[in-house]
Amino acid sequence: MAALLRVGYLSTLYHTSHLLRQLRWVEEDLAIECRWQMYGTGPEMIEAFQGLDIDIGYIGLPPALIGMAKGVPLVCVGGGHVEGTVMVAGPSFRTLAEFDETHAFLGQFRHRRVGIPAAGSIHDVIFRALLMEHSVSGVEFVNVAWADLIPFMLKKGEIDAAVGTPPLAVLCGEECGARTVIPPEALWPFNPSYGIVIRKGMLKEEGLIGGLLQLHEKACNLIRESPQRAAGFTVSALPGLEEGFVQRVYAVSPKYCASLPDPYLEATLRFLPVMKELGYLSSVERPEEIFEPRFIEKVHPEPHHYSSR
Amino acid sequence: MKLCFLSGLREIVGQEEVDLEYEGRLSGLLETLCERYGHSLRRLLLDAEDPGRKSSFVKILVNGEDVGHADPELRGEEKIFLFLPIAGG
Repeated sequence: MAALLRVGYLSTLYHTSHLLRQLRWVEEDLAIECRWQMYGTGPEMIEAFQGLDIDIGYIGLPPALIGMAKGVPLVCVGGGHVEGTVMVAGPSFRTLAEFDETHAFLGQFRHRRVGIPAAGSIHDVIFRALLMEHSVSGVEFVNVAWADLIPFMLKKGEIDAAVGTPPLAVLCGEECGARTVIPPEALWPFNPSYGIVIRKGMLKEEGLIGGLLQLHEKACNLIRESPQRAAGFTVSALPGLEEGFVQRVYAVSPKYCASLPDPYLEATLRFLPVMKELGYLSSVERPEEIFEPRFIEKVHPEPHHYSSR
Repeated sequence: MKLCFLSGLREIVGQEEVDLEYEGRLSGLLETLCERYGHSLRRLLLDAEDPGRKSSFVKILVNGEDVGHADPELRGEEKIFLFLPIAGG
């Protein structure tokens, strides 16, 4: 078994990385040292995989697909959450629900600036795909390396709207009075907001991968079934953060599960032609092996929990 | 230099933007800020076990660049963002 596990993670509060890191489950249950490295966006994490800096990553599937297409030997072994992309804007913008059709809604953002995580992140891909589907041009993307800057930019008038994670949406609402104009369930149903992606060479470490996924599954269940308790653990890892804030984040899109059911796989595959059209992939050919579900099928044989709280 | 305190830190400092005259290493700036804003900021900014080192909780961008664990020399003209990363990516 490896002596040191190098895990890449994002700051997204509902990823189980925050719980596993704080509670030291990996170190204590699997008796292996973990080195946790935070990245600002999924594409940055793919560079770390490429540079052999990490073995495992918590990442949205579109940047993982870009990495696989570039020949980085990655495979997704577990889910985590679906529908984690939200659009927010200032009160002068109307919501999608207030329009009769999406084209007119998106027209509000022509010649406006939208803050969004890095090009190739799941949020960037989903919003570009939406604009393409509805033939809306002239929206200016302001891709940022750290989404935490987005509320500041909104307040300063440097951007007019933002697309990103539920924590970003809660921050923009509480700090800038922004409101949700497209809720997560209305953007790419079942989109794989994050999964557990490993370097293919790790597949031979069957005990380690199975053990990790068991802990990940346990943490997903904790967030879904006891959000207050999970928020308490998360806050203890991040001084300066309020438990109530974490709970509000959990509630935005409460679809937490470690499994890899067919709708998760299908939603991922639907990205391929769109990402080709957007120029993120050179072909629509399915990478050789995107998923390896055998580990999670043992850990989570029952029906998925993505649709339930 | 201009300091911008975002999520998690703004509440402690009491304002989002602070203009400050300072030249020297980043580590010295962090110590100056801790002296000015007290223990609440210190426990977030500095490593509890190695107080000369930036904590792993906080992200610092100097002119847009993530400093990581480096201790760059500052000339006094920089724009520096300090925040607890929580917005995801």
